[in-house]
Amino acid sequence: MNPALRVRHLTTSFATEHGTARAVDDVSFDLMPGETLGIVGESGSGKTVTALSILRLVDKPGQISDGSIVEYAGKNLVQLSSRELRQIRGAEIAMIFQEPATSLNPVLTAGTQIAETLRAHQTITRKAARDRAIELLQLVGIPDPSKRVDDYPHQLSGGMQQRVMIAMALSCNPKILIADEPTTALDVTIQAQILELVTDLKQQFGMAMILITHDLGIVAGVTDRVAVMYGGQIVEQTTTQRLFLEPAHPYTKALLRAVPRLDRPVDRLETIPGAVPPATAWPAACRFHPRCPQLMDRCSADPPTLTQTSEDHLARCWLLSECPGSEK
Amino acid sequence: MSDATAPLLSVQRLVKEYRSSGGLFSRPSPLRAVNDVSFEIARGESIGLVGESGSGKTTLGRLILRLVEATSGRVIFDDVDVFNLDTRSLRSLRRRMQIVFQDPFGSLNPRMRVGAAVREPIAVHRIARGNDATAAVVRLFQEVGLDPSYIDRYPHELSGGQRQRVGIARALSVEPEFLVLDEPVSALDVSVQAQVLNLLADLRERRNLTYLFIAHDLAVVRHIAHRIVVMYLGRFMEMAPAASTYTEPLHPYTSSLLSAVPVPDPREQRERIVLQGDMPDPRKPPTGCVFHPRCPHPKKDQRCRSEVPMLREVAENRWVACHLAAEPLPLLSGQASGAAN
Amino acid sequence: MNSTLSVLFTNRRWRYGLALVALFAGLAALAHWVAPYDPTAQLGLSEQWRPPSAAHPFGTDLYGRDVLSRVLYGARVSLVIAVLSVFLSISIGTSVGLAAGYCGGVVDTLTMRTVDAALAIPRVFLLLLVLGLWYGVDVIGLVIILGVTSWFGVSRIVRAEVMAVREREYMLAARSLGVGHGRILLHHVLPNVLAPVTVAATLGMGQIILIEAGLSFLGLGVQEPTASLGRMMSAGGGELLAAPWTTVFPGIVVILIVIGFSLMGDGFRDTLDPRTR
Repeated sequence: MNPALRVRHLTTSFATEHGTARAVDDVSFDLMPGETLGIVGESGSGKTVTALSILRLVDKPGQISDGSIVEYAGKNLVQLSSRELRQIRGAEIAMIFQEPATSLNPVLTAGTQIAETLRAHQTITRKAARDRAIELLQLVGIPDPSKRVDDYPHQLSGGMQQRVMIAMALSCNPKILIADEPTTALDVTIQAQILELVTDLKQQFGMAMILITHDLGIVAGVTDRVAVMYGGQIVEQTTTQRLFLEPAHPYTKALLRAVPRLDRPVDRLETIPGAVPPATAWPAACRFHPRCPQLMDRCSADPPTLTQTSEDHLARCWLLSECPGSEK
Repeated sequence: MSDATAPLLSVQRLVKEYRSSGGLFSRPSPLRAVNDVSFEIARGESIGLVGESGSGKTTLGRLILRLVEATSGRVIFDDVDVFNLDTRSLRSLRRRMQIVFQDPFGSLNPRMRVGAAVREPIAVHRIARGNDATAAVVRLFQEVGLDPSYIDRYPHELSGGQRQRVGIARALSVEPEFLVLDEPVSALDVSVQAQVLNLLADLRERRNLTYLFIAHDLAVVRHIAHRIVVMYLGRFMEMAPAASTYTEPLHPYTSSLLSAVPVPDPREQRERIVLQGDMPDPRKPPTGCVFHPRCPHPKKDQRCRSEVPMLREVAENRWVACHLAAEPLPLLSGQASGAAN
Repeated sequence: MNSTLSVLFTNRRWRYGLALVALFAGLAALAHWVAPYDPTAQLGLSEQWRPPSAAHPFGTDLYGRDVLSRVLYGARVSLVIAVLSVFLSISIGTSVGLAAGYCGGVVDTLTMRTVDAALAIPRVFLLLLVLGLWYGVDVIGLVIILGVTSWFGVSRIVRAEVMAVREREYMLAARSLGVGHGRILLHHVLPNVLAPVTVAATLGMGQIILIEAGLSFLGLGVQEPTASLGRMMSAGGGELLAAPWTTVFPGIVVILIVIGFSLMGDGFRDTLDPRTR
């Protein structure tokens, strides 16, 4: 089976006063059809820039400086002209963002914005576009869609706004949906609704999905495979089951222990010392080494490579190549 | 100081109503952000106040500190009627009750060095001056785990976690007894959240502080709160010792909140109670129980729609505002696993 | 404060602006020693309307006065008027804006409606009215008139900034810590509104120099034989084709001074905001 999306050596750099910052550094992954891939990381890990890079939405001073992004039909998005790219954006690959309030245009009604996306990709009459918009609003669970279609964004709650964003994303039956922290701005009960909706629609539309999040709980509940990002690189990549049961990278392990959990109360949380470094000041060699509880001499000297630890399990850590299997 | 059994803080029938001016053609409708809330906090206790946006939790925290003026009700702090103080006495009371804000960047003056921000209250309250004040700032920095060399930095030069430590040091500078923690870790990265949560737990122990810990996430307050209060649309839904809240929630809203928190373990993906609909417009709250339109309880009836349930004590220290409290929603599989640990 | 200054010097625009302003301010201050001639001395019929030459680099005017000397003295007068009246207008505007924005309520409504009313009257009309009543005004009088009639805009800028700052959480934090109003205004509000005030001040410099020129043209500003840049430009206006040097040189100096202030203003704005460093 061909992957829906094959990303290889994707590198996105930003020119800053302090030199070039590689916000995304040599990221490679495959997204299989129908699969949900979680990209998990903290702020500044490069997960959002990765998502934006796929649709080439990174603005100056940032640019994709290396790598390829090949979709299922074999087109390399990195090399497409902006015209060809527009035909892909929204139609084949759609995206939803963290802040529905700012992602929607405040002066246009929900229906107009959905119709706009439709009319950009299809020859369709105004009337038909409006009817389709109402259908889509119904599909994403907006009550009384024929009335709500004429609502402006501010008349909708945060959860409803995100549903409108999802309706827009689905309007052209995309093959791939990229969801960048789609529920971070929402309350927990609304988050549960939206996650359920997205999972249902993904099945119904037969889409592949990339879900970007900082929340390991969401990763556990929604995704099939996970890539953990730190310092612009993928540090671990495997199936969701294995990531939680047998995490290989010290960062993943520490992160899993640092999350306050409902199901496992503790007196004291385990912590990761220090803070996530900014893209302009990534440590040399292994980017996690200053915070790593299992630091070795080698970690500050040579950058580790992403190596296979077992079937379908990659991790970027010297511990694993020194004595494989010892971390089980 | 009064006897040890008296509560440090007593909140009595507190109400905050915001009067909107209304549109050109619509009549002004008052918004009750906090609706008739009463509770007490014992000295040294830590209360977790949990609710979603619009629940009134932040307003409640600010009302207690009188950063927002209440519409009615009373707050008694250690026998002092907080709402009945002149400016002078209020200012001296501020030494005893403090607040840490959610957004450590927004709550620090961007043009003030962080050392100066911590020093300011020390100067204002004449706690120390000159070198003594500097020494106090250094001690505070060390206490919250900040390198004292950061004293001359500006807020934007620090990371989110460091900024929040500055916010905590500033609140501690006046040596308060009571702290309102308004979502102090919500804006922080996961790996930094745990550091700050542990720091807050340590400080509480070391300084014998009393906390009102506001959060939107039940998981965050689990290991720090003795009691949990769950708020919805300005009202208390449930108030109970933490252990029982997490294992046997009495209110259907608490059960739903617990169910909605994603658990980072793929083996424990359970059936969720997914609440339908949005939180209602607080200007037009539902009649009867404010939660009834979204309530997943199978036995909800006419009474829920018409009669406001009072917060009542159904078991020792366990208070709930639900007509059906006698038959709480059972927790679904997976959720109760915490009880076993 | 030392670090703020040293950072300022790393700002290229600020450095260039400062260089320009300092050049003319320095020359103007030292006009007495630098100027080759007495600016009011009429050098005789044979020296009238001479184009630029080695003896008179900027030429001479209708009365046979050395244009370079007059430009130097004129720049001094214009700069003094500009600096003093901008200082006056900024002081009044900032105080009013702070009071309106911080107190809100009745104070805000009263002051801002007054400002609205004042802004509704064309500035030139206002100035003409006042100057018409106070004919033959001296430099100090001109400074007061210009200063008192130009703070309205500043007060609105400051008020808007204060309203924005007032909603910030650090204001709430300061209140929760028991910090008094005076200290909040001085330590938390003022530093955060300084950037737009500085920008307004630099733009104000340019504006005042131009207004002073306009008034002088109408015979209401600085009186002959005292030279001001505006006075010189308007006096030479009628001879623009025959003796362009009498107008062009003071004009260039005005432009350079205004550009200098603008560059400084931009540089100030960048450095005063620690986030953009």
